Amino acid sequence: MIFHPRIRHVAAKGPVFIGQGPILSTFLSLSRNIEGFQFPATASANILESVAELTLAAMHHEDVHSLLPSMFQIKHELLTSSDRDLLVERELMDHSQTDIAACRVFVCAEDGSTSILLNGDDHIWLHMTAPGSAFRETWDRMSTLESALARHLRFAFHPRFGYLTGSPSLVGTGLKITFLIHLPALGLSGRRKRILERLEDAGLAAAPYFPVEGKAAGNLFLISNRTTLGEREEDLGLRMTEIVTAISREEERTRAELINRQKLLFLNACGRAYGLLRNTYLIPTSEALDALSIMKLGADSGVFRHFTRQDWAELLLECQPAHLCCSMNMNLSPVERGKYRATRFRERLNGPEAAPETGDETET
Amino acid sequence: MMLCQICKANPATIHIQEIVNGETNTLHICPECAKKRNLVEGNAANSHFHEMLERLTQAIANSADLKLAELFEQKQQEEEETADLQCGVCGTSWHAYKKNGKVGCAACYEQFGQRILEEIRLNQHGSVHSGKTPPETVEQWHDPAVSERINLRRELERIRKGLDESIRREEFEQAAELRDRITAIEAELKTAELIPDESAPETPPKKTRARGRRKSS
Repeated sequence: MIFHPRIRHVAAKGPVFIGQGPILSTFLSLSRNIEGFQFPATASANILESVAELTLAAMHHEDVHSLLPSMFQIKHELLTSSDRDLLVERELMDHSQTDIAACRVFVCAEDGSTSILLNGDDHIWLHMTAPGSAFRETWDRMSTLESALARHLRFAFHPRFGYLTGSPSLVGTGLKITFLIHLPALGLSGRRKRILERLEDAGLAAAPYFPVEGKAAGNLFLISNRTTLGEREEDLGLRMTEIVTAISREEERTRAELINRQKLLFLNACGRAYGLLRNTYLIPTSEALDALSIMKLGADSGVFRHFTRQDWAELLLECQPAHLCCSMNMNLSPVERGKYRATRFRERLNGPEAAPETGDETET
Repeated sequence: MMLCQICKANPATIHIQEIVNGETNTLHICPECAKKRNLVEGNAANSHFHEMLERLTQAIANSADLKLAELFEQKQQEEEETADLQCGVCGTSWHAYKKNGKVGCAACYEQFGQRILEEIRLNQHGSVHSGKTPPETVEQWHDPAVSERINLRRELERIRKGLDESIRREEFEQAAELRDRITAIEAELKTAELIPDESAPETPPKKTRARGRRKSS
């Protein structure tokens, strides 16, 4: 068995990358440490065991537990590397916190909306995901959970530095806000690089969601804050929402321009992407993501009327390595993955409902 | 992030490496100083590396006060100054922190004092926290079993340190005694499993509901 039954259960749930328009989803993570205990980077297994026990006991208090319905907990060491890869693909676990280490405990909601890692980089790492641009609602949910935990656990806090974390880059609020955004049109117009570079001036950073040789496969980017000290959580979140919305509007404007000016080329790209995915027998992840990116562009613009955001988001996850292994329930080599990925696309796209409705393209 | 080695005020964003007789010297400077010293023109990222290197060599020849060797010495001196900087609570050294970017405990933030403050000021939006604060009071812990095990583990830590010390002093009788105490505490702690290992998931809620329906029908 290469996947834990609990993780398979989470994998069977629908994805959260289904936002309307270019902003696909919002991820929030909050780092906290318990006062009087060394941070995980230097603490002995003994100390970390106490931390895990204290936190789990706090989480079982009625007021906290009522906020965490359908949560399950697994010792991190019981998760296989495939389990952890799958959780990373679903954005429920951080790349940097996948290593097996002493007394790590993974807690997760069955619907995949909330995950908690104990003894990762910090004692407690709360993480929440939501579709679309949803800072305010997600922060409300997270803040309520944090406040409930704070009633039972004394968090390491400094009047000047705020909440103390293992890495000084998170000190202050301990809050990391990330938006997953899809920017194909800005990429085609050549302005994307400059726009994303300018984020640095606002204290934000953009990273590819699926980096392939330094490029973002599928035109998917993660935009997150680089600073955590000196700005209130709500202020940062609203400021980021404004910036990300502005980029999204620019993307939509560029899309409209692209379609108006070069409709034939646009339809050609959509039809080719559809044709590739529908007829492929062997396809690597990056190529699949690039084709899916154009399919999404087409779907958002009404070319694929019956190919929904939900269908797209499901395919986006299903075509990734760990999800493919999970659906076949075995370890697969890259070539085998390419084969099963292609089969999956052919199965999903071969019905007449997914076909593009190009209208009368001879007009253009 | 580090400060510019020339003005010591701005963050150093330009890093120039020079290899002389097989020895690597590195210069970390801010764009302003680089501009002043004619090291780069405009945006550093746009400048061609070879062009930069040429300018650098020229600048070294022209400018009397820019001596890489001197700066390198200064840097070494700084490193020596911080060599024994160490957190008195968890023992994490400043060098260990610089290496992996992680402090060892909450006290490190006080113990590393000015140095960590400078780093935080450079990398963060501000230097004073604004936002959520913890509640005034935290409910006292009510589960005596949890508190007891935490105390036992704390004692275990203490005894382990004592054991290392007695072995170092070659007090083997005492060491044997401590070892026995460790074994006893470990056995006591083992009785409580943190999370029971589950080989299969619990009955999913769906099934429970199905059973309920069957009963009512």
